[in-house]
Amino acid sequence: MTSKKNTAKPFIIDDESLTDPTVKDKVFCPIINGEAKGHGLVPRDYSIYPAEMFAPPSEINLIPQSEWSSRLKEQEQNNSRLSDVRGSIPSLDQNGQGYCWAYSTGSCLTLIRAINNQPYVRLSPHGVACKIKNFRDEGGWCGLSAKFSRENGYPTVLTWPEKSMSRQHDTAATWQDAAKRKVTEDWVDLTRDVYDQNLTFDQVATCLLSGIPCAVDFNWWSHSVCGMDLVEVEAGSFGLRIWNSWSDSWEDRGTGILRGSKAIPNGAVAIRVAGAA
Amino acid sequence: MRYAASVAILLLFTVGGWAQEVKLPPEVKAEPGMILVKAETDCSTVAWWAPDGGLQVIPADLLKNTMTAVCFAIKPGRYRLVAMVAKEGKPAYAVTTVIVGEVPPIPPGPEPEPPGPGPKPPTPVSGLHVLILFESGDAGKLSAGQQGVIYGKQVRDWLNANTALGPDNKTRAWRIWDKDVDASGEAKIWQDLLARKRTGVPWIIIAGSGGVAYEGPLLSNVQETIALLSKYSTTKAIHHR
Repeated sequence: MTSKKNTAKPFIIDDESLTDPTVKDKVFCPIINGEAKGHGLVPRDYSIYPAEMFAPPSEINLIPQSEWSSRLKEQEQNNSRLSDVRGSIPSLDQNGQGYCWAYSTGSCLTLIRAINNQPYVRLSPHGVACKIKNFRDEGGWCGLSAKFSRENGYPTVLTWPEKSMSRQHDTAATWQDAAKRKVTEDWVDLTRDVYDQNLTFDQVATCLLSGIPCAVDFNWWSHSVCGMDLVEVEAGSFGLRIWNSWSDSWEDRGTGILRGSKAIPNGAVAIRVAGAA
Repeated sequence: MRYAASVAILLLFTVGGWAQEVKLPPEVKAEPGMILVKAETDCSTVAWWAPDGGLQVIPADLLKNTMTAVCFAIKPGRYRLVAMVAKEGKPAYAVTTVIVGEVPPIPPGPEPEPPGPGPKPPTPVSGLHVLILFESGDAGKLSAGQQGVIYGKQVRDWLNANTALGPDNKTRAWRIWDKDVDASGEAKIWQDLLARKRTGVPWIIIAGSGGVAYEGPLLSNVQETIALLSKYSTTKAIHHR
């Protein structure tokens, strides 16, 4: 799948842009095609789940910040960013349910399949979220859906229709098919609970420069999205191009750029390898 | 700079502007110093590239006429020179050996091994199939050129234009996988190609109606990879290992 080069001004989300009420509405209260879009991340209650010094996944060989700019230029020159690999693949759409935490991992899996050139099929993160939450519309974390993807895979809309909350799709055949798309390799700190699994900004940057998508949670947004590209917004100022789950009608074909404090994840998992089917 | 200037110039060509025909003499003998090599082609522009160290090529954008490569070599030796052209969706390339100074002839290689029973050849496939394998955990260590091959648009566009159509009549017959991928949900041909012996990653396997035509380490950049793929785009006989 290929896409035309987008020359529109990028949608940047940072501390400064969020002082603009218009931007704030697009981020926190988006109405797209008449639908109010949901979030779903459960921000950490630090009185219950205290912050800890996390040990980053030790196997990631960090790319030094001094190399980010030149590597990004090479990626742009080669059209080899994950957003290039994505091409014209449409964004997922979580509709109004608070299932962003399942959609972020789903978008990462979609990118992995695009890298692999597997036959395109639209994934159904609603199936994952319904199964985990017993069909309740509840929030979660990307670590939760990533764990599920390792154990069970992800269904497609062929077996679990898009945005369906119906139990009739929860069948053995659905999960037998979903298992073909199990995540078999990722970077995640399995010594930590799912709500505590995180990567540093530098680790996320390294992953994105290496073509590895990351599901990233942001407490300020109560939202989980797919980290797709590292972006140099201005010389020496780096942000994340995220792929949202609010359809292609949100901002730049479903993507925006987080910068500054808004780009520092509170939870993250890097998805590397999934079953080829 | 990760790219030599001549390679950077090659990046100006898009897959949409690839080739018809280009010819070079099999070899060019010259003394150390400036060397001129002329290409015969029906295309208006030629890109030149010297993959071996020791032969320097004047960048094409400094030349009035790109039909002739202007090269420099100081040391005696054998150097490959590649001419690449592009026209309306198809690439073409030609390679010559520039022999600079007095260079001993290449000794004959070892006698080919007599054919043994060998491993069982994979199931022949219809049309070009390409499998690229790498270790995703080490993707950050890949060269910029190899990242360009694995993730970049140019190679993907070439593969989409030149590989066979899959059973779904939409997806082309190429895959780029982590070497540890679970391919049990894929067609047998892909499982067979994945199971073939290799000496490391990143790795490329090119197969067609005659079986596996080429397998070896992934080349170092996009241009070399496309040149290699173009060579096998009309598949040849089975290559037993």
